Amino acid sequence: MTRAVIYVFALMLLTTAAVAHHGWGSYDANKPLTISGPILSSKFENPHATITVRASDKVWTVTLAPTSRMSTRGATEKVVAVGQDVSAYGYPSTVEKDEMRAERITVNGKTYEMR
Amino acid sequence: MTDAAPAIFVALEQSGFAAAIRQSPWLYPAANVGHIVFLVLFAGAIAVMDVRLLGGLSATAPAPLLAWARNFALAALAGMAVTGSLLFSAEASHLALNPVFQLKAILFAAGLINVAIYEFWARPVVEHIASGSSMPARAKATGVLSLSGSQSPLAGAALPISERGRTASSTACAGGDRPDATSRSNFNDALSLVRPAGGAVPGVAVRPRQSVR
Repeated sequence: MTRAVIYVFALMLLTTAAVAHHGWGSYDANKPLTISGPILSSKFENPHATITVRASDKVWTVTLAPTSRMSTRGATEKVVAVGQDVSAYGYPSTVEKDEMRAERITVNGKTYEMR
Repeated sequence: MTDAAPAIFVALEQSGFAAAIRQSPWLYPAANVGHIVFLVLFAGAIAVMDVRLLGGLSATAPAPLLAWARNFALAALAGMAVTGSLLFSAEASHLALNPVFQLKAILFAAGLINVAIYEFWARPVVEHIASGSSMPARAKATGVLSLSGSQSPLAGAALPISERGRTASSTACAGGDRPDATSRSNFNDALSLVRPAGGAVPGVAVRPRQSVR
């Protein structure tokens, strides 16, 4: 009985998480890119953290992961603070100009998975 | 935040209330979980009503069963409204312009039409039917209508899920990642709500992936 309750609860959590926000649908996975540069602004917020990065071509808005996932993987607020040099691999938005969603980021030689 | 959205949504997203939701580590994920839990309860209660209208569960007279399930559905809907408004406020300007969300709003409106059909057309003719009696055609029609497509809030809520599932896996293939990576990391996000940050959960840990390019 207890086990059944735990399974049901786990299933509810799993189902729920699948709804999380705008997903990957509005990003073009056929055009992966890597941008690097200093972080100009940083919001460590839900539904996911975002940073702006001064890349060689322009300023990109980079959508990261939910804060709980970031923290769990060690990509804390300090790691993506303003002034840090970041390299982000991800896909450009098909909706918003100069926005991309990061698959993974590298800061100070350490890579953090965002998915 | 996008300025392209109507001013009221921009203002809502810029409010202190919305900022508090975004900045809390647990509020947004908790509302996310709660929204789906209430959705499941809501859909279950509506399904009980539809089944009774179609003539099932006939050992119980329709009136008390329908009244009970209706109250249950209303309570669940209230829960969805509270949690949903938290989720919406956090990113109101984007959601207002999101085509999937707009479709969901239309489907919600269709669901309200379904409610009106039940309340004013079907309910009056089933109120005094005894247990074990067959249901009038009007009640059955309403039940079929509701079950088949007009359970719109449910369909609306399910839409983003399927849309995301599809695109997430196509992204995963293009990126060379494991197809289940998204659901797996979402599962871990959910788990992180119920265990200390950084704590390992055996069997569901995300394996670090290397870039394939």
